[in-house]
Amino acid sequence: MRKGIIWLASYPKSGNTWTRAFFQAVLRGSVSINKLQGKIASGRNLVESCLGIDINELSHQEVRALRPLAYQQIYQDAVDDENDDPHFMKVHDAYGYVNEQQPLFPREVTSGVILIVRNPFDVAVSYANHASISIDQAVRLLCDTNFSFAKSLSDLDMQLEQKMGLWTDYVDSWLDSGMPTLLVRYEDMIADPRCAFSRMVEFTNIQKTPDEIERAVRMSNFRELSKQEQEEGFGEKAPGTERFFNKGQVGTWQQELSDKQIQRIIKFNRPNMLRLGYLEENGDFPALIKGQ
Amino acid sequence: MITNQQQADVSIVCGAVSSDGIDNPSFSRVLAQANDKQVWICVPNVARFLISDGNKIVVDLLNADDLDTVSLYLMGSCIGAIIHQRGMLALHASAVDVNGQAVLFVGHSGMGKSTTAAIFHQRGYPVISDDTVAIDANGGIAGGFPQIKLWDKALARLDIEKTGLSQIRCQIDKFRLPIPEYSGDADAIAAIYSLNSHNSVEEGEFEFTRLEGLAKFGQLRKHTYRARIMDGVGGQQGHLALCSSLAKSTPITKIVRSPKGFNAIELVDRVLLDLQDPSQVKPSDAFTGTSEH
Repeated sequence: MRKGIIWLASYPKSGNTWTRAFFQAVLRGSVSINKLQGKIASGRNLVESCLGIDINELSHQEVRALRPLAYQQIYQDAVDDENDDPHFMKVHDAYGYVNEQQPLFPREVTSGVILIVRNPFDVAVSYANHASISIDQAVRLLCDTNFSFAKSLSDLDMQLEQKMGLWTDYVDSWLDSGMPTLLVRYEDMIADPRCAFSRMVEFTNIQKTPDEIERAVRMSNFRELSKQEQEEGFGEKAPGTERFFNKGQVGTWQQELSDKQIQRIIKFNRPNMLRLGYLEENGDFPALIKGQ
Repeated sequence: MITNQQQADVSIVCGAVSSDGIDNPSFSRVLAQANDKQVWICVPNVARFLISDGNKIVVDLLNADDLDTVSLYLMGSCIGAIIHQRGMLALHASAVDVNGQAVLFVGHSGMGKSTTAAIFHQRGYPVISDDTVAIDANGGIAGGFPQIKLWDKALARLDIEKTGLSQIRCQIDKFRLPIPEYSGDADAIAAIYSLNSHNSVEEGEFEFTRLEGLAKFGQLRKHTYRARIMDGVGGQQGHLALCSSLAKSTPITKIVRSPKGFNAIELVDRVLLDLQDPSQVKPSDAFTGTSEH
């Protein structure tokens, strides 16, 4: 794999932070949740410092048009860096274009994409907790083509605008990007973390033994991350919510979602629910998403 | 740039500026470069700027229809570069005059520097500068442009009617609040407050910590306007000496509030109380005070 950025792409609440913690464990031999691998690609200060100019008085659209240049700078810095470790960046944006030709995440700076997906039923439950909103509101967001973060026009957010859209469109956007992509399901990470993370290690061309991977998996497991959050807090936790590392389980939707909410998510997100094994053609729910 | 002497001392001319940047840059980002003589700034589809000798700006217009944006970069990044080239310290800060002494608010964009300055203005305190503050080798500061730039939401919170205010650019909801040109003579900085947010602080609360030792220096460095361009401009020793003497002579207080927002009026009350009676805020440990929120 050539040197470049590895985008850790996921819809919110789908295992991105866990993956970053794992990579820190496997590369550094320890995990500190407030210093994780892979800064978020939409951080205002990060993009501004890479560009070298002020962007705070530019519109969302104008800043979006400049973001590919910031990633070129990050790529250049990674190439100049003697450290050969992969350069990870966390992304919640859908893959897209800033104009007719220019992708937001340029192919020429990209080494690969790890696309982490999670059953949208559980995403809705987890996101409601994360954002301190009702489950009904969270369900509506997953079914909204305009779902985006930091889109306010009347003040400044430390995050740049991120367009996610429908869960199913989000998955398509990255799978159709044409870039080398490894698709990983959250449910597989829970069921067999050693296997799921081994695939990521292999994809990113990090040379580690099975024992080293096993140790990193243990070091970055949910209990450990949750313990660290209790002890020292977590800077990425949304204000107002109790904790970031909430349950980390598969299947909580079964207790939390109403039939109506379930049907709404399916109505808008059916194609990739079928494609990724989150729904059967006859409408049944596979064991994979029940946590059994 | 308005100086204490009221002389216009920067020439701004239109001319060709290379699209490739400058020779031998010691600082280089994709849209800005600097060496000991020049600073080059490129704003795609707007203009390229070449700033030299601390007194000259060449502007190459890429879009003659967007002069509002050109003027924002002239008054922001270009003046920031001029300040660096003159060997002065440019802090990303707002400054107000409280009883004849300057009080500065440093912080990243969005932390409330301008809103805080606007509240001082509403209460009758003269505003020295909004957004960027230039400090000379003797610790003296110059008045900035007679305006405060405020987002729509901030205007609403401060009950300021936006009818009649000019939008800084038609593309965004941010407005210019005209203020009187600073005519006071506050030449000493009484206190610096660093505005921060962190989710460890509950909504509605403020955490005040008096910084000590290296942490003070770290705050000044962190909030130096485009610090890395400044490194490219050279004269780093002079800059570090300026930061260091300012850190020694001035109390610096870190204020942390919730990322969910804050009551800026309450913040100003707390700051005024702190200026009257500093004994209520505890100093941080000099060695742990550098931890970043």
